[in-house]
Amino acid sequence: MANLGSKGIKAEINNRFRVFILLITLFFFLLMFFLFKIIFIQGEEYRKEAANTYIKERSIVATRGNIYSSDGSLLVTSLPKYKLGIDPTVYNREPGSTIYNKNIDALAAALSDFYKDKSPEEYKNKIDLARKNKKKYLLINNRLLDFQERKRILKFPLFRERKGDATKTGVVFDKVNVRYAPFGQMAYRTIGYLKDKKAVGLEAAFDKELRGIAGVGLFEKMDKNTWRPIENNEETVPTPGYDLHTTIDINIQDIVETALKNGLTNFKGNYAVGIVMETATGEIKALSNMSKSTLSASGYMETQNHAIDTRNDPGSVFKLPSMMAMMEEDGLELNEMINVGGDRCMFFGRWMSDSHAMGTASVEKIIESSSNIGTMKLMQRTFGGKGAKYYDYLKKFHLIDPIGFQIKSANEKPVFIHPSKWHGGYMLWAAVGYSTSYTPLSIISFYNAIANKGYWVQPLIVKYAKRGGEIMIDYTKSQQRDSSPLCSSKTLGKLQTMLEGVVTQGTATNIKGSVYGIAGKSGTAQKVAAGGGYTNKYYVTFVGYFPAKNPKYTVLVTMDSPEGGTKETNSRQVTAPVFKEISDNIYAQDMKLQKKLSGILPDSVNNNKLSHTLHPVDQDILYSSLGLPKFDSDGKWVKFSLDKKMAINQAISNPAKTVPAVIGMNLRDAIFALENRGLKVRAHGKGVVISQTLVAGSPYQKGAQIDLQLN
Amino acid sequence: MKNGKLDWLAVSLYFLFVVMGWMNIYSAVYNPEAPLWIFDPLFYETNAGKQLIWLGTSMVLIIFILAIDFRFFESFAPLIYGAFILLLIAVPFLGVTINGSHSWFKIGGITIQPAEFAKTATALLLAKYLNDPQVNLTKFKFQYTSAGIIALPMLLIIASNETGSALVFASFLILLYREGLPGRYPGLLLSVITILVLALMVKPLNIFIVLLVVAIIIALSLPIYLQRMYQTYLKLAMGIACIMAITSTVDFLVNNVLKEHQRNRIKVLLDPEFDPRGLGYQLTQSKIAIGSGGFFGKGYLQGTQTKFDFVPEQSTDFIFCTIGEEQGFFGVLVVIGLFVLFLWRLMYLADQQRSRFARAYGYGVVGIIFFHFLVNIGMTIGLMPIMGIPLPFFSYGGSSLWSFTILLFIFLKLDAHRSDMLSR
Repeated sequence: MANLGSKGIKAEINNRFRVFILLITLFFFLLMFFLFKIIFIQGEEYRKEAANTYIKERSIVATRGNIYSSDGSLLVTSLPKYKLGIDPTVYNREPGSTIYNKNIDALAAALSDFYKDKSPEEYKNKIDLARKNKKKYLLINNRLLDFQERKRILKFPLFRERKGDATKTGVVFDKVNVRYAPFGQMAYRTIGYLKDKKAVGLEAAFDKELRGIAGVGLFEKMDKNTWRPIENNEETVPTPGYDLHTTIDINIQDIVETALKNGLTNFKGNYAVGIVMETATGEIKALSNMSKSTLSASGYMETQNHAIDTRNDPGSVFKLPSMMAMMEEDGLELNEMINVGGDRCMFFGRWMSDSHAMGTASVEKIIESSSNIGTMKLMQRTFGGKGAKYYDYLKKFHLIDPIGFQIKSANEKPVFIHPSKWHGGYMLWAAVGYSTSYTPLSIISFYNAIANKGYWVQPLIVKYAKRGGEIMIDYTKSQQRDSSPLCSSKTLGKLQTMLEGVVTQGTATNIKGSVYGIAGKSGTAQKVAAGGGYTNKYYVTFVGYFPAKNPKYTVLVTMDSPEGGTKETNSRQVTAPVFKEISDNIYAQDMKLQKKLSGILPDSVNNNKLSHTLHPVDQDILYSSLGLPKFDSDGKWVKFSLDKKMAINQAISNPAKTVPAVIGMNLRDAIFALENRGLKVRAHGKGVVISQTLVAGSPYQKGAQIDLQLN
Repeated sequence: MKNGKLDWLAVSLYFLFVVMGWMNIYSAVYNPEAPLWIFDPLFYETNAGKQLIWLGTSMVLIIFILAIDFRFFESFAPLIYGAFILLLIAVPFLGVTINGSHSWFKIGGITIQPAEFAKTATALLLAKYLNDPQVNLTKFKFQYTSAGIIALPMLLIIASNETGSALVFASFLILLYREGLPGRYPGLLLSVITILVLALMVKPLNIFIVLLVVAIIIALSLPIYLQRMYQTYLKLAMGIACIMAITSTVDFLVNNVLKEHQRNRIKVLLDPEFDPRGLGYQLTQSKIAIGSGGFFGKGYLQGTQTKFDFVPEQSTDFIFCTIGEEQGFFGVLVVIGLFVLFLWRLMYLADQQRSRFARAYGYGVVGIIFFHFLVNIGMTIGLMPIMGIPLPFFSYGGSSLWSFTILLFIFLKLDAHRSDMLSR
């Protein structure tokens, strides 16, 4: 305290203490003065402002476009869902609030019963409190309701009063659009989704088109997180998004998914891909990816779009582009004999093996038996020292550059090393599908060109973007179609012969014998381990087209790491049967396909003697959509029967006041025919009627009972 | 040596403040549609839940401070100060950006703002420096050193764009004034501020005229013998010239020295209609919240303005709005009254100190808390420009609550040992 020695300084310091006390007190009064002013003098004005609900301009999300399948079925749509809220101020408007008081307990009980999250007392208290506080909006529950639930709620006590007039019952539904796929998991990954910040599939690729243009409107703030639009106050009306019309055929998609699941059940692969492409147009009719998943009961789900996202060594299916290049280069003939030798051969210091020793074999045999050594020897002969030419051919075949599919993927570009960086026998190994990497979609687009008379077309999945019925964007116009074929017609003929031979006498004989004929190529690639070197796992593909002579569809089936097969049997056992299941079913469904086959039905349809009785109206529709000639039955029921290769149409008449003949009819028609005559029908079983208890043509009494057996 | 007795009044007020603060934060984030109970893990993602954790850890800090030997703070003051200077230097390089302010350290899930703690460190070092009997604040040499101790962290904080936090260091003038700094310094500062504010509100020309009239009146009314003194006239003339210079620089200061966001904050103060969707919005909403409270307020958890998130930053810098809206005039009177009582008590305690170190530190604490209190409440009612200054003990925020707790309890610990210090 040395520096505070003198009395004067002490007094000065004491003064300073007082200055501080004064200062603090002064500011106390200053703050209180201003607070007083704000609260009491300007308070009325502020209270008014606070009472005003807060209004702000916000953007209005446009209705997202739908996604349709090729036949116009809805794949994805935006469905309105509703959130229930109330405007409690309505109840105070009525003198004595009688309807409110009369109904609130019942309403609270109904809400509690409906939502099952709070007790009736809790609901009642919540509404009561909001009413007392003169809140203009109270969110009852956050759960989204569908239209049926909304209808149910409108019948709740209180809400149904006053003829359901919302301005008197206070009920408020806020609409929220939710994405809904009527077919559930079908083509789930291809159609895609927008979830949080992750967007995949068509929903992501065509987000700009689907989204539309947001509008602007006035919104009222009702609650911490709730903004409600003020009716009829849209400053800019939102423009709805375009509808996408895809090439997906839901029937074919269903066939492919079922076939893949069956294949996976048998061989338990990591995943499987199935693609069906319409040969002439390049339209993707089905695109399915089944990946192992613990979330699904079947063990497989659409979680990743391997068809466009995952590259793999293609394996033997790549021998065909190599063969095409060689035939173009030096006119290799199918019957030319090559000395393939034993089942092992060394190329550039590495061993390559075949499933069995071929000895001397024809070029055709080399492909049909999928000989690696044979192909590599031929490659050495044709392109030895001029690998750049081979590369140029592949470029022409669209096997070097990305194919430019509508759903973008970082892995679309094939991995195929440029000749300037080739080492050792790279070309030879690449020619049989190793050390390269392709997506299934790249491979199928090449095979489709073989099926399509040599003309390559870009795979297409979205044909049009429409608004209303009007086409806004026609994607077929920007679809890439080669104006010249990939190869000469001579080469094409040879390749097609080989592909048919693969099925009739080669590696895939297990699927031969179809009425329509399949042409295709199997491929089994040993999977490369993460650190290099080959594993015991395989990547198995079967790709081809049908009908063999007049291709309509190109199909690719691939499975990753199937269990239970060997290198030799994998593609034959695993993917070829899946291919056949798909082609059989498409064939059975696709009427246009069968019409061209001069009346011969596939075995699956032709096994039984068919006999049906049809109503004339149904018969008209059915025959015309089948492309069959119209049969004039003069308004009578038509009996259609088919015996092996002969179809017989016959009009049948049921004399009045007798029991009609209903055998061969479906139940709907049978009931129609019988009850029209006053008979009581009791039916058993399902299908078509195979027997009836009252004999056709016999007289009957009104109200008599007739029993039908269906099968 | 035994622990001395803590001042029960100050400690009780501290606990009262933090509890009231927490209840208001709870109310500010309370969502009536989905109330969260404190046993719900989700609760700890809200500000109220996190503040509860900060409160708990503050109790640990208090126990820790009370357990440390009281001599530690004086002995280690230079070290603590040095450490925080290093942290302030490091923050532009190692820090993270939160709410547009690049002044935070992130350690695990916890973010710490060193600027908050630098105030305590500065107060400690300043007090230790003044404890030296040689130091006499009437001499320039010692004034410079003191100013240096304050200016170093202040400049570093300005460098990291936290002008609001840096201005808090101006409150050390209270400490220095109490310890003997001549009154002309704070007087000068207050005068300059007053003139600047006046110049902002009134046209400079009018100020000139008024000043000229005042100067003539003073000159004429001075006793005859002083009028004859040439020097007096000279001083008067110089003073007027200075004031004119200051007023004429106002426009330059506002338009060229201040950054845009700072300039806007001043413009809003003068004209709330300015920037109605940004800062003006914040101030208007804050006033609506307080003004709509009435005498007794809307009741706890019943505030509509704060519930609807109309007031931005309502649990941090604008927590006072929640009090105003829900507790009304009565509530703000109680809170401000208690704060004044608290400041009086701390000042009384500081003046009781025998050791100059403890007394100076105590005045540092009073200054810092007073500054925050005044600026924070001032900015919610439009008396002060909006800057990121929290209301001590009330506002949400770990760094803020921890730093005020440490600041206060070091002083209360020193106070508890004031008789021990005498015996040294």
